[in-house]
Amino acid sequence: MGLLSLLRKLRPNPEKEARILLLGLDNAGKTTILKQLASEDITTVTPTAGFNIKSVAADGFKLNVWDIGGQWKIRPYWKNYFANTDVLIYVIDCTDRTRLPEAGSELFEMLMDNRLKQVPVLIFANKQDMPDAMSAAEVAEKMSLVQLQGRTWEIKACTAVDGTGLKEGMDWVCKNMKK
Amino acid sequence: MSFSSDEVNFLVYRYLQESGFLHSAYVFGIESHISQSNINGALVPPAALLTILQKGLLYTEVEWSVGEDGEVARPIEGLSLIDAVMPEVKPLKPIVKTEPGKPGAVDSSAPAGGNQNNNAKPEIKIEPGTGVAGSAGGNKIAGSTTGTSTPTDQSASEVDSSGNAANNAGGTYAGNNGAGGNQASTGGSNSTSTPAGGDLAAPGASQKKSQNSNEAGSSSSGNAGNANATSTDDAASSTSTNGNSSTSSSVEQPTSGLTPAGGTVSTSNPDAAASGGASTATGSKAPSGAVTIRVGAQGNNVQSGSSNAQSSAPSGTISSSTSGGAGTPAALVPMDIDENIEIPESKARVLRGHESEVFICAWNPSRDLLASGSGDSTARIWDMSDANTNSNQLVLRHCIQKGGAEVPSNKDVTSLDWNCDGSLLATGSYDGYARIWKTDGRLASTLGQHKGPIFALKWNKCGNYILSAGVDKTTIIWDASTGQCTQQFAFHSAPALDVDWQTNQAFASCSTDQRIHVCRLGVNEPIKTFKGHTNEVNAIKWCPQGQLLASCSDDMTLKIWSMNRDRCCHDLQAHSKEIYTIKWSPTGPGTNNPNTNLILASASFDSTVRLWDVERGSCIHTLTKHTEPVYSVAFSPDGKHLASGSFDKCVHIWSTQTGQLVHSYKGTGGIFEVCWNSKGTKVGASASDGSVFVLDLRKF
Repeated sequence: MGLLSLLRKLRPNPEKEARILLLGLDNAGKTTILKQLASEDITTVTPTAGFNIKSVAADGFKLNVWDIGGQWKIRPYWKNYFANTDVLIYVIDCTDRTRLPEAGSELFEMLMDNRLKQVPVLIFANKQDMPDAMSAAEVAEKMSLVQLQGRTWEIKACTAVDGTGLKEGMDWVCKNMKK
Repeated sequence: MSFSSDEVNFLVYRYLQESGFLHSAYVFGIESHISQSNINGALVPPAALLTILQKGLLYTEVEWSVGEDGEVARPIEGLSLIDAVMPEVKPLKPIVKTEPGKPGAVDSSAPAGGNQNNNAKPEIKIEPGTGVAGSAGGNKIAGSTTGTSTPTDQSASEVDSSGNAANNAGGTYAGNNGAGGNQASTGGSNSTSTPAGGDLAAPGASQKKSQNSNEAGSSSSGNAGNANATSTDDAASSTSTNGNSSTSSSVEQPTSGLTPAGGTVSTSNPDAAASGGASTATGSKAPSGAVTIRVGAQGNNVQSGSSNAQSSAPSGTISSSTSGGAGTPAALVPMDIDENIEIPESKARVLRGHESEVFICAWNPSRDLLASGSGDSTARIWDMSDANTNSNQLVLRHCIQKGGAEVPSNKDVTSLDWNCDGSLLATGSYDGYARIWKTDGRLASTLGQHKGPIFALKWNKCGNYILSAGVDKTTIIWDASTGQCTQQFAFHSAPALDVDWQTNQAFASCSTDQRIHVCRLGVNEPIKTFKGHTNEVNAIKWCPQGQLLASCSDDMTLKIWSMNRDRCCHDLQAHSKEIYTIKWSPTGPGTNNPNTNLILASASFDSTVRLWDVERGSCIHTLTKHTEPVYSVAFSPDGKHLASGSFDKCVHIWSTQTGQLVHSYKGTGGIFEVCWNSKGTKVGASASDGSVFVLDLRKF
């Protein structure tokens, strides 16, 4: 019965498991965030052409994080990953002021999808370590996040390269999971 | 857990290569920048994708089997890959019945040893074909459907809820159909509707007709389907579209590692298409003029993929080694199984001549003459006696009168049967005529009364009557000496599919109307009617003593009936797809082998053969080496062996006692029929590519 008991343990526990979608424009820092969450080395992060999937433990939860590449060419395929998402994490490069509108429109367009209805959204305002980074509040204002009325959402400042703010963000995720 | 698209891409790439999708693999390799991934291809074994899919499937089965409380709630097995990726199927899925007392127990039918890779319960089949076939079929649907696709059970689940975006929908839907074994059928060129009853799935297709779908299109759409099949999985769906390169340290040319595997594929013959999840095939022994195309056809490539799958599992080495050809994959795999299982080419005689698929073959009971019936509107008699080394063939052309001249009927020869002393051969044809031939190939008489194709025909034991079953819903007893219709029985409400004599004057018939009638010559109504099947009844057979009647159906059950009961004595449920045919062993009281127990063999589209102890109503062995629907089974005259023929092109010969595979041969086309000669020394088989072959089992 060894295998069966092991499988029982592995058996997904819907109460304690979540599917997290990690999206954002290219170079926002999604993969770095993912690697930080998994305590992996981040020195070799390269643009993600497809996806990375990792299971991360947080707060007693098992978070299956799907990090999907952000280049415009593959953004149309994001929607293939929408189903069964418990929380959407959207990462913003706070140093990239020129593409902030693009980031915003991608987000809002995506959230119109039925499958993401009522899915809580965490926005990571990343790269706070950079001198010219916009603050979380500035990003929220410029992206008009207030339009997300009726949805559970939060914006958190973070620095993926050193992990600052990630824990707080994931705590929010665990608290606000769509269940 | 952690994985990336690079890795998935690599496995997909490998899969494409190993399955013979060489061009797709090349393009995909370029598009997904395979060469820039830092995966050491030399270390990745063949069939890696299929292996991990199999494990995933196994895990899903366990996951679904384990209840909320962590206890085993209901063992689920035989889950198809497509069902497994559709969580919403789960509640709809009926409980798959397992043999009592052995859920998950190690099945003795699994070959001893060499199972480490297959740590699955042996009951759990790798069905790589199924998933892919499904979407191949579906692709067809999307592309060209004219037929009906009747969603039932599984396929009822919504595409939308499976989470795929619209652009995937085609593929997903396809998967549904295929997996559920549903009526994903395109009527194809020439389908006429089944008159009544049953699913109108592939209306035009006779069970065997349906195999005609070998047009290039179907196999290439199979390819396309593959891509879609993977795309059912959210994760994989976008991988093929990676536009950007990922830089990575080591640039490895994975091709080198792959070449061996690619080798197998070359043996695959692009023109054979098997019926995939095709209840339709059987569903539809209905009249149709010409070739009917059915969906659910799986390209051969799929099939070769599946033999690859097995090649990674030592238990499956037979099929990979029999796939001959390059043979290299076998070299990569530990050969745990005695290589002698494989029947050498020197022991196989391939008989060429038929110009179209060969649906049936039968040995003359007294001499080594093999008769075969084909879609080329001929039957042939092949002299296989040892004295004759050049395998002469007699061509029995099936002609009809047209404008005062004899012209080829251009219709399939669907059935044939030798009389008991082997002096006459009767054939049944799609042209509606039964014919009686002498062994020298001359036509003795033509029996015309049916108003539609004949699907089955049998001599009675003493050889004075011939019984035929027609699409015209009737069965007819013919006087063999005069060629006159002695009595016509019109009790079925839909095409009659099979007949079997109980005695010299009484017989049973089954139909797509789901019923079985037992009739007697001179009696104007059925002396017994058996109701209980919930779908078309494909075949019926009386046990050697004539007391028990076995029937098998598209409803996936096998039922045993007795004349003194109205209800079935046994309702045997274990197959997960349609059961195509059944045979009783020539053993038990009243046979030549009175001291051996009577057993029943069933062949199913779920790719398995099962052996049943009918007395106890239990399954003795499940024979799981085939990778595609099994169309035929035949017991050796001593009952010790069973031959099975499948659309995976393999003829397997099993020990009925142990369930072990003893011999195996891979032909060049999907196998429709297998049969033993009366001495038990040779097995004849007929195939979808027009070949007939004879395996000499002596001196192994």
